[in-house]
Amino acid sequence: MKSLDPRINRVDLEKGENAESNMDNFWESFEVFHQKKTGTAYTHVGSLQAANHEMALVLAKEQYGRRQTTTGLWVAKTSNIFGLEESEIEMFETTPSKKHREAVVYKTRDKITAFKNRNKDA
Amino acid sequence: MYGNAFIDPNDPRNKQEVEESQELLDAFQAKIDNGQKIEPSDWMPKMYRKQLTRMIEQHANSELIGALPEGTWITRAPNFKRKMALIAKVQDEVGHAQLLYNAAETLGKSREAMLNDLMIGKAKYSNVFNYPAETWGDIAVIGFLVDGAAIVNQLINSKGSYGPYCRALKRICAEEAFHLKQGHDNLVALAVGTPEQRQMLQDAVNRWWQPLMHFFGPPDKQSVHSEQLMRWKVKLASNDDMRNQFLDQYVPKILELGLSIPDPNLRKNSETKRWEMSDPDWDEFYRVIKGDGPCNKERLAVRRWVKEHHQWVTDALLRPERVRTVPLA
Repeated sequence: MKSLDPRINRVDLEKGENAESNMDNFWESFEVFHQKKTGTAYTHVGSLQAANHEMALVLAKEQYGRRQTTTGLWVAKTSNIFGLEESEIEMFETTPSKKHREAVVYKTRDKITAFKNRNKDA
Repeated sequence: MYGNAFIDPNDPRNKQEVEESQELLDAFQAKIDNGQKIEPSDWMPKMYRKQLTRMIEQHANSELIGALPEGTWITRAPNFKRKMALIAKVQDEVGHAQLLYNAAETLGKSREAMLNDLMIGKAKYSNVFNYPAETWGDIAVIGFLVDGAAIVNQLINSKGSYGPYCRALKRICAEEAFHLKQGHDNLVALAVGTPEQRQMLQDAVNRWWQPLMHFFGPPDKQSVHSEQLMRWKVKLASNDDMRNQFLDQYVPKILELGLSIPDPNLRKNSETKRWEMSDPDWDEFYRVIKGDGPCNKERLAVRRWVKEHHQWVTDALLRPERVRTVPLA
């Protein structure tokens, strides 16, 4: 096999004939959080595989920082992140009205105006 | 850059194999019809998981292998600016592979298994990367037309139903904008250059036209595209529709430079608004898929070589206490 690629022809490709994958050789999965601008929240942007945190940060810089403004990067092991299951999310769909926690439902102006008018007459 | 995943409808692995509760299936379909994305922890039909895994895996493989024909030319780029652009583009392609392997991993198949299936020739990647880049003209054509075709495909797929895949594609499409522009810049530079440069470019267009027509897969009349995959928003447009969209966008850009397209029958039917063309050699398409293209053997040999020569890095960094985890999203 003669390649058109001079670099390929320089290496001895036959040497790779015995390459074998060992399924026990794997790195851990890390989640990456990226900050676009100082003062803004970190956002989950994706994941990567690395042997340790330091290496995960190096790879995160390449993968998630090379093409956009970056003011901060965090990595965390996927196994250290805990979240709700799909079935648990349903509870939010049935959350009863929480109007009492919203500012707009507290209307006082009408009462004050009525009060003032009443006092004016008196 | 990417090639359309080829799903063979006659493959017994693509038949729905288990009866799944109609109630769950209906709720799943309702979610998709509602425009909601499916996330890794959500329930999904087995066939949905299987097809998506193979589709994203093939896409990831295509990005990884796709870096090879272009990487070939980094050492021979004609000037510093082109060399820097090509390095950046090839790095992007490998980065896209990493994003996509992660998305595929969320469905359960490990990265090692995917890289292994690629290496032993079990997993597929786009046929277009089994053709050689003979001259710098090929690099211009790959950068503009192959990436252009890939963008048509990826923009459509980014509207799909699986959350992690859509998010990866969104990032990828944003980066592809630069690939397309630098490819066009490169192509135009040759097209407005010396007669020798123009000839080199025309030869490259002639070489790549058939692989480009193969790129979107067999015509709709041949490929029984699954209704089910369309309903699940795994597949979002038919092969012919994507090919037509590509021709609409790119044929004028080739012709305006005074280049010709090596198909005397290519024309747009003004009534149907569809492109008509000579039938590309589909026997060759299937031959290359089965492993008998001009570069299949070299591409896989490079993967094996990389695996064998870089394994010591992985091994040196392994720690016994590690646990296997699947990416979150």
